[in-house]
Amino acid sequence: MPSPLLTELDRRVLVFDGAMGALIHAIDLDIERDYCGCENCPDVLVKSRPDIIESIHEQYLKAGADAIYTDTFGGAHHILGEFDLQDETYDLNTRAAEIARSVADKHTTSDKPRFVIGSMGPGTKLITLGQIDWDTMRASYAEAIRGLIAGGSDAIMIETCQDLLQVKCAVNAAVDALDDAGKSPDDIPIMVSVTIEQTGAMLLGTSIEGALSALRGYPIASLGLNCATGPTEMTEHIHHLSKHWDKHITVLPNAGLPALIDGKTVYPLQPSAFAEAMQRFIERDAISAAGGCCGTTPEHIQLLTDLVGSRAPAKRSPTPPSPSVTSLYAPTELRQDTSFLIVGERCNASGSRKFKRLLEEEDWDAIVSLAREQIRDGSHVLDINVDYAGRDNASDMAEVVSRIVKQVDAPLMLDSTQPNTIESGLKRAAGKCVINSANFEDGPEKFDEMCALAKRYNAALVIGTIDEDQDAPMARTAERKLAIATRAIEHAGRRHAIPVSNIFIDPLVLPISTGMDPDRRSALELIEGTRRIAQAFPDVQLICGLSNVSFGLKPSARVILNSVFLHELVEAGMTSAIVHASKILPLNKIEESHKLAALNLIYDRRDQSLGGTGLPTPDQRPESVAV
Amino acid sequence: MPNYDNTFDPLQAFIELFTDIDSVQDSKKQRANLTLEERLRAHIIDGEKEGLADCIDEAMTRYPPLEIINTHLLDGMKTVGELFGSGQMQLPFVLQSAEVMKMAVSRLEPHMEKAEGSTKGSIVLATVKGDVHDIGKNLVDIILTNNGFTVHNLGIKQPITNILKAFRDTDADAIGLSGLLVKSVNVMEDNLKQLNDEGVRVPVLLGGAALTRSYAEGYLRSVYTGSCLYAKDAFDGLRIMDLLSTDQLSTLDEEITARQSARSDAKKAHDEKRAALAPSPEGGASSPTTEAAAATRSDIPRTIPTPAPPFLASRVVTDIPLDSIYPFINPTALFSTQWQLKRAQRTKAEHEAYLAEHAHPVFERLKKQCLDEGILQPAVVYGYYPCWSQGNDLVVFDAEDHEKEIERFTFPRQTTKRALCIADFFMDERECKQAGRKDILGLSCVTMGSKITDACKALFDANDYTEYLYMHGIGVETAEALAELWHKRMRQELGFASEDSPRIPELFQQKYRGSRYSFGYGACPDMSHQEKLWRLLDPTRIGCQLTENWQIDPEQSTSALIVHHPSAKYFNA
Repeated sequence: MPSPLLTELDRRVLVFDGAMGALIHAIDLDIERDYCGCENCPDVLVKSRPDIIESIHEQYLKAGADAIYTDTFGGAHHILGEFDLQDETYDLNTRAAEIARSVADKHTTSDKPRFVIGSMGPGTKLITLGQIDWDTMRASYAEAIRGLIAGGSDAIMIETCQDLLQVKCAVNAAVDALDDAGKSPDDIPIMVSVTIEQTGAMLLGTSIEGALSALRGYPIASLGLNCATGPTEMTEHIHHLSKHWDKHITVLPNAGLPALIDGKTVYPLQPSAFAEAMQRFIERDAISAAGGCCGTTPEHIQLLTDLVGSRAPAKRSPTPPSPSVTSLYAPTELRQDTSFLIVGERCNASGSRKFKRLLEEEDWDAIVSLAREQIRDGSHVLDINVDYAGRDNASDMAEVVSRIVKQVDAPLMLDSTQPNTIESGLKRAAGKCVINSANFEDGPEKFDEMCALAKRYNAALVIGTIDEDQDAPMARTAERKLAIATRAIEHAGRRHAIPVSNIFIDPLVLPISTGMDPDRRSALELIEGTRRIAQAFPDVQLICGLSNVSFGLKPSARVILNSVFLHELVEAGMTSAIVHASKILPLNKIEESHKLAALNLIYDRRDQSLGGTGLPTPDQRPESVAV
Repeated sequence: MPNYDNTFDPLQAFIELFTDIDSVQDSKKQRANLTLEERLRAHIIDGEKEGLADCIDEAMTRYPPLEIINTHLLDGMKTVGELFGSGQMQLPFVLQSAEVMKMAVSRLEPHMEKAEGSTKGSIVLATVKGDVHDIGKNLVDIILTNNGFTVHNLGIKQPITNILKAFRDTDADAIGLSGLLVKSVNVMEDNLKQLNDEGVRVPVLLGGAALTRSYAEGYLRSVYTGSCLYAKDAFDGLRIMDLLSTDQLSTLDEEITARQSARSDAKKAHDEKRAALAPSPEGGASSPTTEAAAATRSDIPRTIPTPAPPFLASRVVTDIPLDSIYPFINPTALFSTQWQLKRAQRTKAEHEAYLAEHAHPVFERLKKQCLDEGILQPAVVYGYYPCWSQGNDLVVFDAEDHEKEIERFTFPRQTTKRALCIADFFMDERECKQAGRKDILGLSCVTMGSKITDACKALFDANDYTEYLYMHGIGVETAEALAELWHKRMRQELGFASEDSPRIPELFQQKYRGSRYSFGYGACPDMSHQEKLWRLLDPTRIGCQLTENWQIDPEQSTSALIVHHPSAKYFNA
């Protein structure tokens, strides 16, 4: 059944409730009798003092709120565990939802339905900082959410988020729990509300742009802001969402920035000023739901309700942000205005002797320095490959990713042939990563496995043009490169709903330096293959591991060949390359004669009788410019 | 020197070239042979720090420090900017150059005479939110600082809140916003609005590669309640700051007003010329049907008399001699775009000689081959349909029952410039009713058949890559030529081909009445419209199928909307 809450959100602006904690604290409660000995655990009150929780819900509903939050802010298994209440996770969440449900139903009329929003707070452990691991957190949230669903919640609200990785984990947990209940996010929507501190970013440094880009693509019905600041400080962030987020927006600010007066925390924003500030969001930014966080009271909600009335949401036409990947902090666009997307190649155990040695020595700090150095040299994204026979690759991936994520502001490309090594990195990277890579060499099953990872962790995906062909799995001709790319893009799109802009096709760089006849055409086939793929799929990203083209040549010659080849590829439509950024020369720094010699090699300008494309014309000969 | 005969091996030649070269970093001409001035430039362009100090010291024996910066070093930076803009230099190298620039300036700074007394004025400078490009902005900083202004340089990716705070903290005389990315223009607009909201009216200087003068002065200036000024480069910025600091803002305002009115005069003259060319409208001044349309519709002249089509619905034509199509092939597109024979460094005359030797013989040979072997099999399906416009929609009616809507195209409208939309070139319901007839939409789909695709594939499979490129190009451009030829035929049928330029090359520049729009281009980017065209014309009758992403199979085919309105030309929505 389609969610009644979503139907109503399309129809009119909804008012959510205000703060719960302060109303609870205002009541003189006994720690032993009411809190069951668990001081500061309001979640337990649904069992010991349901009357109090009922009365708070009652106050907000009477004030006019369309939706109330369950008393389950700290209801996840690992949070309740701090009070030794972990075994009651499911029951407490079920009970809390049931209480809210019954009060809400009592106030529901045919023209004003009331909704129950299952609240999930961030907990006290930050996953990006390694205070809890992905699997534990995912199971913990899933258990609580199963209870919220059983108790009759209309939505799951992952709120007051401080850490992007926690959001991703909780969204996965919600999808798990919905699955268990035989439901989907269309029946019971998943909502996300992040907290942007006064610094202008989430606690761990994520900007609103970063959050939007990293969460876009997840099955969430809304994205919004709550807590930390009053409405004024949220202006710019909400405005950004309004312009670029194409689903619902929820806004639940505090009643201004708190001041400490006579030893008590006071929230200064009065109900009328609060409501006025919210009006601007409703009118100017076309938000879908407004409510309050810390310091807001039934009075705030009452005035807000009066002001909102039964108006329809204002119209807006958001433009989704251009396809991006993100670090923990901010997005990087996959198409660079004046450059190609530079992926740093040096953190690769199969490609860099230095990195391999650092991995052997487990010199993690030096690995972080190597990562930083590549960003200084101009890399936009970092490739991370720890595939090393004889070592625990999944554990190495975890170690490297968890460090780089915090210390280097760059999106990561997790590079391995093994899905579990990649997943180990994905469980620790807060931003939106790239998976490198999937292909059809071992048939569609393994391909599907990589696609499923991309979907679950909302990552972009590199696909190599390799298929099941027994004799020559790697596509060597432009035609086969396009054919496999087409198959891959269609397969990933149809089966896994991965949008084409989230896919990087790697049409495979093969060496032209061997002197063997079959390799002579490798470069020009790649250029032509790139051109055809770019023409057939203008939105797909194209990537290549550049330096393979010159394998075996002396370093000075490699720099020239790689640089000239890259230039030809970019002209043909290549959007990205895995390179050692400081070893690429701009064309203006390359001797014309060197460039011509490289082009003759790239385009196989041997005599046609030998299978070449024809001898260089006089002005294609290096001698024509030699001094 | 290698022998360029059938023993020539480009791999061997390449390896030999590098036998004695161990580092390519110094493969460029030695700097020592250059003059001092050239060396200064070269240090900046190559991002070379080594030897910079000596070079600067030597320069100081000849020139005052400010002249070294303004004349020689900045000249190098300008070249860097050009190389960057044309894609020949990647960002990391630009950053190296900027670093060398900074080093040079800091070496010169102690030797510069500071402007007398206190500062001439102050500015808060920032690259706007979401943009990391700061080379231009830092140049502005260097120039202004060296000329006696205090610059509060906030750096890159600055949200407006930071800029506001810095402005309030420093009480600066101006704010300077910079950006390179296209999206930064929108950020600047937002920032200006936010300054309005905050009641700030301080002069704002806008600059950076993202902006144009006409957009800044024509539009952004109207957004901001204070003074909004465009600075083309660092020196333009210095001039503005000099005028600001001496209370001569009005001088700048007058200049801008003069430029703006010159611009609008030019546009008016252009429009009048256009209107004069158009046949005079029937039934007096046109007025749009609805309020909404009035608000959005562009200033395209209305109620152009509808030409009478020779038939309605669609027809298939297959008997088209190739000889009649060949003259409509656009040689520039064939040689340059398809065959990649670009002019590059050659002069125009040299290039023509080159084409005469390399391109034209191939062209003639292939034309003959295609004719002899029947490789190109031209076919056309085209038609005319009654239609009218409704806002951004073009409503197409049944060829028999003119009241029955059978298709509806929705086109995007420009949000800037003239607010053009393809629908505007057709009469709307009211105008049609007044005229007593519907407007006419032409449609065409042409193909060169599937044999050319097979021929290309065979060449490619045989590793005959060059020939493949040539053959493929011929196919594509002959399809374009047929589209051009058939468009001319349709203008003849509609009775206004007499307005065509007599020179075929000028037809490629739309020197004829009306326009031919293909889906996927500027005015109608939505490729999915192909499906509607397919339902109307049924090009499967000439062997054309639509692929999933709305490309035509075979590849050497193209489809279009034919618009008869004299004002219809290419534009981007």
